[in-house]
Amino acid sequence: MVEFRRMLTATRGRGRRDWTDALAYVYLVLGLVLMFGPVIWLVLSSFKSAAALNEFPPRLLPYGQATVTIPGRDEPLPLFRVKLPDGTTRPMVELRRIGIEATMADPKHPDEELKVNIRDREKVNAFHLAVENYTDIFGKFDFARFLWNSVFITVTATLITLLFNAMAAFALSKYRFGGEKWVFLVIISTLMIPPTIILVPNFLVVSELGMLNSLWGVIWPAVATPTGVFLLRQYMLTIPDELIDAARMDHASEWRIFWRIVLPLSAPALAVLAIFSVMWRWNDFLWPLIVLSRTEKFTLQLALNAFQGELTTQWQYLLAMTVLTLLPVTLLFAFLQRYITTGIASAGIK
Amino acid sequence: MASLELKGVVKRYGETTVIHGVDLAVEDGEFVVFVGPSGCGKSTLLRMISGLDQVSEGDLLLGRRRVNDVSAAERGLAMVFQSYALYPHMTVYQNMAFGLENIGTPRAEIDAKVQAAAKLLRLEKLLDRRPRQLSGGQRQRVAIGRAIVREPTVFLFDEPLSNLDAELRVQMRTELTALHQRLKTTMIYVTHDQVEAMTMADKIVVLNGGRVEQIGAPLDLYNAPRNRFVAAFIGSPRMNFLSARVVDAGAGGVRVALKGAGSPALIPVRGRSDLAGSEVTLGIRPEHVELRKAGVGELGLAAKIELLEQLGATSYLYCVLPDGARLTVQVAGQIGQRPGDAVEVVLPSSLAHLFDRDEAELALERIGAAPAA
Repeated sequence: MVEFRRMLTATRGRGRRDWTDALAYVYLVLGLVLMFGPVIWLVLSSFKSAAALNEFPPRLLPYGQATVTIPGRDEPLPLFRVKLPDGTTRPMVELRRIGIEATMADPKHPDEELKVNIRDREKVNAFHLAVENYTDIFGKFDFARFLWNSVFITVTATLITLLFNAMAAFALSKYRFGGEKWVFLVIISTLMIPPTIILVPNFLVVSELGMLNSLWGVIWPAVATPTGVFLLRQYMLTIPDELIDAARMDHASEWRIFWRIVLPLSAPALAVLAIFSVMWRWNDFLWPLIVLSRTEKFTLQLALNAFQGELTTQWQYLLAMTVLTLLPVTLLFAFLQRYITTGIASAGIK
Repeated sequence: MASLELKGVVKRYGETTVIHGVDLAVEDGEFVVFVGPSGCGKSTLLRMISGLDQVSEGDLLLGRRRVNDVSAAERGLAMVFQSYALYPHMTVYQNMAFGLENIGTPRAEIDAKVQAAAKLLRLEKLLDRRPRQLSGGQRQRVAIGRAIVREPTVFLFDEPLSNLDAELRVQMRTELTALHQRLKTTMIYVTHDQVEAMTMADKIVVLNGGRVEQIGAPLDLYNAPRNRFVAAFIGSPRMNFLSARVVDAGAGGVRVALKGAGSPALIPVRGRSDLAGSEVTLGIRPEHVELRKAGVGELGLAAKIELLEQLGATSYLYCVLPDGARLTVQVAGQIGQRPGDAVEVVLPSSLAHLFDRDEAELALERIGAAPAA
């Protein structure tokens, strides 16, 4: 807590305030609002009821109409602030309503009924979390299946990505062979090809292999990444060749050298790539959209898209599901983000 | 039986030849040291023996079997690297056990061998540590332990002591010698430090520019260097070299005259008659030069002390001769002279060496046994 406060009040000089401090804080607060604002709004909105979402002007916090339970009635009744003919206002509950005329009563004296024109009353709002947005989606939609599809694709693709890229990086960093530089250059140059360009050829390949509407059709085209090869190769270059020579003298096969020496020593770089891969696969939308067309194969991202119906969109569920979709990556990032800095930094220093 | 034999071994990197045909036989149980200045190819030669580098030409025989095309893993040798190359993510125990695991040794046997090696190298208490938690000397011992658990036919050491401080280096040197006496395994040791070579080796191989300059026992190299390079490389401080003129060459030796020295002196080396009148190089070790007045038939010179190093037990005098040549003199004990003082030195002719002035700069063969200094 003390450290947190120190972080928030940190200045450039020792204790002294400088105009650059003010500038830095303004910049940081602006960045925080710009980047974190939409997320906060999303989370708050996901707790709003359908009616509250449609309210104009919109509110930031989730409010709902206050209700009061009065004796003699099972249902809680909506509360209004009513302007009486004598000019005073009183909180009253609505008993029933016909057209523009509502029958209202004071909650304290429910027997004294009063007919009020609906223009003379105003809703009383209270803070209300619509938790049912979250509980409902588990029953209403096949959320568990979409979640499983997304998790399966993300985990499998990440594991295969790590293995394949590490093998390629090992060969490119630790073996001397003709055209080695050239191969590396070709791999790196594929970074320059926008994914949309190879969308159709990829689709044809996947289709020919009979992997349409299969989760593997999403996994296989994604596992070989030039970024991953580059990242791991640069890191593996820092592993001393003598270690590999030593392992060879220790009667280790090349595969064993890779598995027992190179992979464990590349752990920081592998962690970085794992984070990247999980984010890529989890947030991937376009490619799954093309490959997967049957609802039971949908990933979370596709399911989110499917929620937007042609005529109506159930925003409260869409928002709740969006929040749930964000959670795994956010948590993963929170726990593994230190590897990103250590992984990249140590690759530079060693 | 020679445990290891090299026949005309050549190493090329593209167009450049770095090892020019090395012939060498290493006897079983021998401690052989490859010594030479940096870049002489000694490490390359070791890596070819280990199998980490390919042999470009020639034969490499391991116990009569040609192993040119056998991979490093299959040769059954063990190597200790200059940087130790311990696996940083494994404990000391795992480091030593790794090689045994790779050849499918049963767990119990691995444990017994690692414990035995740890005991031998006094590493028992460090088995659970990781390499970065160890000191330089301890890492060195782990690297050796990793090599000995596999009971290899030949140990290869690539400058294993060069990362240690001076005191530890001396200590590890004696430990390695003791280890060799206990294990009685063939060891090949690469170093650029001629002191290590002299103290540890049964046989020294002096390399220079990818060629073997001389192979022999340490004292043979000291007493009878084959050429000027070996003479300069073995011994510290290095041998003094002075220009001399051959007066005559006969059965009893070669008589040479030195500029500034009074009378010619007879050097007991086998001379050729064509040498008479030609220029040769006279070599004399600093520890053999005497600080006294010359007698008749002795090579006496007047010198001026330029720099003086007194170490207590020995003193080094760096002198300049009248013709500008430099002469290092080592005398036992401490001396009273100061830099700038003139001294008279005598070069004992029985301990001097003569070298040809051609490219090979071969030494003239000594008559009879080399005298002990």
